[in-house]
Amino acid sequence: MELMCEHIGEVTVVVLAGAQLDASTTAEFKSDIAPVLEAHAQVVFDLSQLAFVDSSGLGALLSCLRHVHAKGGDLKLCSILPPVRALFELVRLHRLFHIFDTPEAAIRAFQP
Amino acid sequence: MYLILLTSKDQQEDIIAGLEAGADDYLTKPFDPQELEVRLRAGQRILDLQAALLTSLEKLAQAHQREAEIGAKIQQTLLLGKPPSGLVGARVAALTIPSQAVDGDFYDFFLHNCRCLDIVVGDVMGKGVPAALLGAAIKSSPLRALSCLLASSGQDALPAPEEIVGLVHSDVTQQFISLGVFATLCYARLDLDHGQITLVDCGHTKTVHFRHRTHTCELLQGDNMPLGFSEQELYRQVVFPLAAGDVVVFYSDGVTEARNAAGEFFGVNRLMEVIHAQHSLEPEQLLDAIRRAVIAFAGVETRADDFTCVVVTLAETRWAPSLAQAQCEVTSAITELAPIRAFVRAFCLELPGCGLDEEGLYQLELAVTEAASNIMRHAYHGRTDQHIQVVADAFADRIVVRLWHRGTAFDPKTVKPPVFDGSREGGFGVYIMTHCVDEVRYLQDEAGEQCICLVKKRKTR
Repeated sequence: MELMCEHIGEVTVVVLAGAQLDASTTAEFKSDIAPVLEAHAQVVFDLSQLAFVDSSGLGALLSCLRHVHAKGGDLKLCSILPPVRALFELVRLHRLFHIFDTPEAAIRAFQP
Repeated sequence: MYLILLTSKDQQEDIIAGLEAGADDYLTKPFDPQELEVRLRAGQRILDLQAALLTSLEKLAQAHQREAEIGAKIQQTLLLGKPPSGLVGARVAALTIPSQAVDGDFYDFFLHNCRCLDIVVGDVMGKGVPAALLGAAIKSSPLRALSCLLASSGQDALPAPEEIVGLVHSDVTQQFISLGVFATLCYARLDLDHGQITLVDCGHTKTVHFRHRTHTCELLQGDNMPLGFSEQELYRQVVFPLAAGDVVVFYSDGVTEARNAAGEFFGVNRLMEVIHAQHSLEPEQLLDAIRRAVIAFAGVETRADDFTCVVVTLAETRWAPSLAQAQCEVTSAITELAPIRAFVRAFCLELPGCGLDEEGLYQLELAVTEAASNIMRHAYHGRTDQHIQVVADAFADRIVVRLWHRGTAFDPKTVKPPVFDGSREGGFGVYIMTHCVDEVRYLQDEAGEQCICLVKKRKTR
């Protein structure tokens, strides 16, 4: 999956530019995202282009969240498409992630 | 009021005439004031007694009324299950109108999957609170028996109705005999995929079956005794074919034994006439037609018994072949997930009137993805050179996707429930799959090929 990173102040916004995050793409995603999470503690994932996520994809996102938390940072999500949002709610992940409608709102949420 | 005739007529016929006209006592003139006084006191005693009797009767009536209300409450809350809405290819409606003196009519439904439903209807002999309580006790017994058998079988196969009733029998019969009560019961399993109804008839009213093919009503019955008659009774099931457009009606004797002013029973023949004439109605409307026919026959006031009725109507097109079918074969490589999804999406979108909105489509894609990746990772243990055949069928009201494979059989019972606290990154797959479609079934054919079958309802317009 292609990842497009943009740094806005202290916050790194990553657009997950592939259409699907499923069992066939999670391994690649995890290895691609690892250096980003290594280097930055305040991260926003922009999911506006992600049309399909399955349980493996959720697992990968959860693994990112735990990685960032372990370093004392935070990972916020934004622009989730409605079907994917419904899936988050099905497995209660909306309670673990901070989810915002726009990247701007997610970035603002990092500011003290 | 107490009336003493004071009369100069002392002939016997005069006295009889006076008493017959409504007097309570008599004295002939000339009279003794003392005698009049004791007779008045006697009259007072009778009046007092009468008043006390009336008060007691009123209290008794109130107590009866309370008992009837308690019984009715028990019945509404404990005795009557909710007709399921999740059945695909058949619809169910149920109605109970409690009589003044509630008796122990009860019914319950166990939906095994969207094509298989167990219906229990029964009637405890007796009325009022004791019958309602006994009804509550026996109503919970089939569910207990079912759970118990499911837990002990350790297989996917459902316990047969005769096994379930057998267990209910051993559960309650001894107590019933010692209490001197009994219950009639009909345990029916509606299996739409196999086109059959299996029932164990424990002396209950004969189930009416309207057969669409022949346009006739038939009575379904077994020949077992009610529960509580004999400890030696062996309960046996009988199987009848069911087909598209058929109607099955269960009812309590309050329906057929409703009497008209001349004392005639409504009877099963009149019931069958109504069902025959109104078979094409929706189940709720057919119920109402039956109710109205019984009331028109008997009049509302004469209903001495509970009126309970459960109607199942089978959709007419159910066993038509699927409207559209497509299949694709892929390898067990994880890279095939996207092509499988694309195949399912394209199949749905090409249907005239897809019947799935974007969310529904996503849910079906998700379930198919979870099923396929389970097959790849667990059934084939990660081998990429195996095969998965995906067959999609469209019916008027549902889309069925079957994923066939030759890997290890999957046992859904071994799957642990998901953990939602973020402590585990996996374990959501089966949970997501079962929540995204209306039914998931695991099948195996005679040749040992395994299948995960996903059923998603379409919105019919």
